[in-house]
Amino acid sequence: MWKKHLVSSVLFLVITVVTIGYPHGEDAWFSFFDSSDQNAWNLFVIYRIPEVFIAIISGFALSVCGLLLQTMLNNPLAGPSILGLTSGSHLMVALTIMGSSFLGLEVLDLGITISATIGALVFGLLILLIATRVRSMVSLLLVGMMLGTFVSAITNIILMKADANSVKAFSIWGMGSLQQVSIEQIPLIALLFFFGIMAAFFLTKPLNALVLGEKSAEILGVRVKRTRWSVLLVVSLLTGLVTAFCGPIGFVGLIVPNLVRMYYKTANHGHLLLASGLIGASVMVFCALMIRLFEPVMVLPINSLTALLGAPVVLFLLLKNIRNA
Amino acid sequence: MLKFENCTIGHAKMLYRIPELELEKGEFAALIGANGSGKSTLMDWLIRGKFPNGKVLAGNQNWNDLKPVERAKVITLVDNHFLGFDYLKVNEYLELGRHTYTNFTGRLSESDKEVVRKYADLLHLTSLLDQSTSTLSDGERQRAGIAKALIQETPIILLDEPTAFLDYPTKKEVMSLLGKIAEESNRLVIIASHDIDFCIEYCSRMLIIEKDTQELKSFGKISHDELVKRAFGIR
Repeated sequence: MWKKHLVSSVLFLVITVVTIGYPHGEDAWFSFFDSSDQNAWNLFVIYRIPEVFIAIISGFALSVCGLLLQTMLNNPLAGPSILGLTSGSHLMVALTIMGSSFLGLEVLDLGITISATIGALVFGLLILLIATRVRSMVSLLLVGMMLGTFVSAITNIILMKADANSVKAFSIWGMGSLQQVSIEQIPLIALLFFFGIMAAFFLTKPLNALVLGEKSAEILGVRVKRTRWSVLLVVSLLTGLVTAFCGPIGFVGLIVPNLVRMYYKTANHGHLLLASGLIGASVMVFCALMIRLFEPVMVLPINSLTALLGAPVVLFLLLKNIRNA
Repeated sequence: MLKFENCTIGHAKMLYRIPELELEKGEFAALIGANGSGKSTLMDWLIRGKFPNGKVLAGNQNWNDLKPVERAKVITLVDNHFLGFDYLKVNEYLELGRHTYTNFTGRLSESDKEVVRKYADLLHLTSLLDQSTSTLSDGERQRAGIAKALIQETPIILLDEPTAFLDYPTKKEVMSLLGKIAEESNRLVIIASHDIDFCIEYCSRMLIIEKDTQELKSFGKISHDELVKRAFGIR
């Protein structure tokens, strides 16, 4: 198992180093060992560090969220975006941005994060309530999509009433971006991320038992209701955090835990959490690299990129599950 | 060990009563009743500690007052609905039996691993430990479920239909094994089953949900005809 962790870590490090070093447009490769070029160092600190930092945080957090949801719901097709948690954050951020613009107030980062977390929590509760009645994987997926469509409709209505600047800001945010974070925001994001991930690692033991289903977990002495609440809070905080700073990012939370389970072939969440985090971070940093590669031709929204990579994998998983059923 | 007094079993309506029943360690008991008579409900309530009326005692302690972790050290259930997963190895599955004994990380101590090895060996699973649970045959999966329950080291083991889906020789093997576990490791083993001939042959106690009286009654040895008459009302 540790060999596989080593492979994942090396993959993560290589992609990260290449992404940090890869030039923007006509620039030269960034040299880690040459500190004489002040301009390059400024670019490194102002643009590359925050971009790669948020790529790592978002990939790590969304993949861990996906794993937690998949285990809790016993559904390999679960994920924060497909179940509508991201949509909840989306709606709350829209309301916050538009509301504060209407009232002439300044929106703080923490305020956006809190509203995105509340949005994820409310929609998470809703999906949990529905999941206790809808056992079919595909039906739950449809419910999540329905919630997404519902949110889009409400958001569009809100946008009709908003001023041009807010609409523009919200539209750019809605496409997802890794370039909206500044170096000053890093401590706040790192702190919230640290709390969320530590809480997720504390859930390792009950998650291992939940692999067998809720009844079997109860047989092993797990307090299922308490675990469900804890998972929901952790997932809401992490999804809210990522959505607030990067916009709604789809598919990563769904596909990464599945790929990790296929490669690691284990149900031990101590290993799965770490591996999902590392692979998820690698995927998002790779997306950041792809965006930079295509930069001279076009600006790729991160959301479209994750959808292009993720949709075929989801289709494969769906067909596999239907065949197994 | 396990004592029932004036319990009523059934969710929306009463299915049957248990006026008085006491079960001891070392017994191998079969719970017999018609489909929908409430065998699984009783097992479910024992696992969840949810008896709305009457009194259930484990030793001197009220069953409903036990915390989930405490209950998991007294009773376990082998569920035959588990079909295995590609990514869940037999070893990991068995290790889950030590769940209540590990700290918050879930890491097994050397003595926990020794317990897992001991019961894997007893149930001839040692060569399958690195295999995925989805590749096990029905008999192997049943043995793995029993091993996990033994690894949990509870004095009471419940099994819901342990012989369903098994062929004749494997049924005999499983029933003989359960009898041996009850006797040699001094545990109370209760199975819910429709294989009445096997139950008559191997079990030391028959708990019959009587169709006519709607009461759970305990018998020692009982004939096939008598059992069928009491449980299913067929004369």
